[in-house]
Amino acid sequence: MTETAIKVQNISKYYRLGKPQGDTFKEAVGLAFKSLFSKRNKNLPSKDLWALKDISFEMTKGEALGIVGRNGAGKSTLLKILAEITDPTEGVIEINGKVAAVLEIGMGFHPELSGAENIYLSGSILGMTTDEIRNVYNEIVNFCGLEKFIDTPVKNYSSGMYMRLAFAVIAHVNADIFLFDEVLSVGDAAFRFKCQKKINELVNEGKTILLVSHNLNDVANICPKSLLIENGRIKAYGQTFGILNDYMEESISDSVSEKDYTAYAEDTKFYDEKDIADKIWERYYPEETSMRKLPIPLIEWTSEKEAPGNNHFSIRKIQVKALKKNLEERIFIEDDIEIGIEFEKKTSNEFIDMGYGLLDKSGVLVFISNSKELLHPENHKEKGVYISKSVIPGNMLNSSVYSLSIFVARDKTENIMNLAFVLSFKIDFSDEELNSEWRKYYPPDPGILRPKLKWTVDRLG
Amino acid sequence: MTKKIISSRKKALDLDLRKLFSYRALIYVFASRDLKVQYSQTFLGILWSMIQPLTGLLIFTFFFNYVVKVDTGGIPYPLFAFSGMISWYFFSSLMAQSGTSLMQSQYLIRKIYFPKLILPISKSLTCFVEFGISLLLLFVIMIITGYYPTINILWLPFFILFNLMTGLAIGLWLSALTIRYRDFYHIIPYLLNFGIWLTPVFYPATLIPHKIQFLIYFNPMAGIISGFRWSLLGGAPPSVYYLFSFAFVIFIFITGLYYFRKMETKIADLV
Repeated sequence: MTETAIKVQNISKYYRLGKPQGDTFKEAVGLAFKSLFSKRNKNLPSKDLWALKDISFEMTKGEALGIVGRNGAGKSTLLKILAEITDPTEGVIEINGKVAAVLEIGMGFHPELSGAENIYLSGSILGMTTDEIRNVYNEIVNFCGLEKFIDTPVKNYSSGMYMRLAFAVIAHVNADIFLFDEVLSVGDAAFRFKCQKKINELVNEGKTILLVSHNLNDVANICPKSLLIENGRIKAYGQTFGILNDYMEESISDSVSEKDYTAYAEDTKFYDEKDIADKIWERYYPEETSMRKLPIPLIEWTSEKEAPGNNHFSIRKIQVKALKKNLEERIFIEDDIEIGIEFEKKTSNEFIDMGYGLLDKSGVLVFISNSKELLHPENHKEKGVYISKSVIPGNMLNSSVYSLSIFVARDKTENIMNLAFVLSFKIDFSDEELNSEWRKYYPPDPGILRPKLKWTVDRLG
Repeated sequence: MTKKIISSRKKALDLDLRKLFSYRALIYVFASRDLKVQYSQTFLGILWSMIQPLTGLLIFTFFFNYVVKVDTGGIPYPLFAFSGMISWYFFSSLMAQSGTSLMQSQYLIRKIYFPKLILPISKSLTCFVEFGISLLLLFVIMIITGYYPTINILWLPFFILFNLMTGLAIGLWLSALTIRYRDFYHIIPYLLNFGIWLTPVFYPATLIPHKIQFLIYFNPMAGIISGFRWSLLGGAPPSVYYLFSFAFVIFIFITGLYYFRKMETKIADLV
């Protein structure tokens, strides 16, 4: 049973470029006078722009779709049309469900008003009634952790506090369809992490999500499918990884020819955050961190309701451990690392492939891997509980914190769910290495990977 | 499950009052935001909304009661002027604020959808609150001076409604026109500065020479202020000729609503 959430048919949007004609009263009078005597004005002026042309796509309920494309490609215009902010020039859109359009964080906030007052203001602007806001008010305040400052005018907030409050409101909007425009790439690491977690919840609850972002990691982590827009037209539609590949290749080849490569190095600011590793631990293992130095990289869902999944599958357990060691033991840099995903298969007519993306501590995708390349025996189509395992060879990753995003595909072709930052784990130097003579003089190596390479030194003369 | 169609096809123009009603919370929230913001970090708070008419009253009482003697038909001059002033201020602040409401909220209009009529309507709520406070002050002055209202006061809500409608009607036209032609933004201060002298606020309409007296009937605010005074303080009832200007107010109010709706769809592309 797939219900349509959004159906976009042949949407086009036309803008006049430059100074709009008849912008002032004088010109309008002049134009009206002129048009009395000439018939030329009937056609569209020559200075025109189709910001969008013949856009058609469909989203089923519970789908997360990414929209990528360069600046000025028409991504935001499309979102504005879906949010009813501006009308399409041509075409029809059918929307089933309540829409929450989040085109900006802290929309409608007034600096002179207190946090509490802004919750009501922003909530109302996002389409909630006063009663609805009152019901979730305490949750919002808890979520952002600003109880002490809730009666302070937001102009006295730090930008971090402001973001937290703003996102807390958005996170509690009750809607079926969420439209996000770049809102996830703002704020500090903790804020970003909170957003990710919230998005995972929304995906699990079966909400429909349309995400416009320049941050390709966001799109890859959240949306199984994407739309590539170029010059107002749909250039490609399909599996996100393929789309991103096309997009990156094109961007890079174009930018190299323009000798302006740096223009595409976006969002680097965020990755400077040093403490994201701690934040990640904090999020998933709040009680363990207070007791243990190293939490166990295990996440288990006991209730079917909370477990990530849909009517094809349901994930039960994800764990990361050193191969041939116990789960509780620390993972060292030379250990082979085994990643296991236990899941229940709910249908009997398809293969389910588990896969993951390994992310470094700043959220950069290191690689993806999945069981697609495996030749499944036919009986793997049957219902039941399965475990998919893979091993990352030792001496490859660095001593650092890594996170996993889970990607689930069916029949090797179609990605059906992406879950960002599901689980994190830490790799340590062994005591042996830490105490070794050479390590004394070197701090931990920078870099995402630390492969052990074979070095030779020969004396040539 | 709510279902909605967004289409480029031009729909028959309707005011869509049901949608407006579903956003009623926003009207209240915007209005209370404006009131709170206006008086935040002030010591006197909302008292400031009384100070403006009161200082005006002092100055004009001095001029028209002591320097130039004006015949008010037996009504004490401060009461005469103050009743006219609060009605005029209600009109002028409503016109100015609703007239600029779209321009002021550009940042919101570009980022989110809501029925734009909410903006001028919430302004009328703000102005009405300030007007109510001034009205209370007028009642206090009346009681102090021993001037009790007559049965005419039953007409008061009618004139208040027309007062609001006049301000909002012009405000609707101005705000919608300003979106396309910024010229109208500059017209507002002129309307305010000259309007007060073309309306019998500080002087009675009888002071106008008989030959051009008919001109006053084109000014709906003249009729409203005259009726406002009559329902509170008694004296001569407003002329029936004012009914024409009242009909005109209703006309521009309704056309204003439709023009506003028509411009509403283009706002996000034009601001």
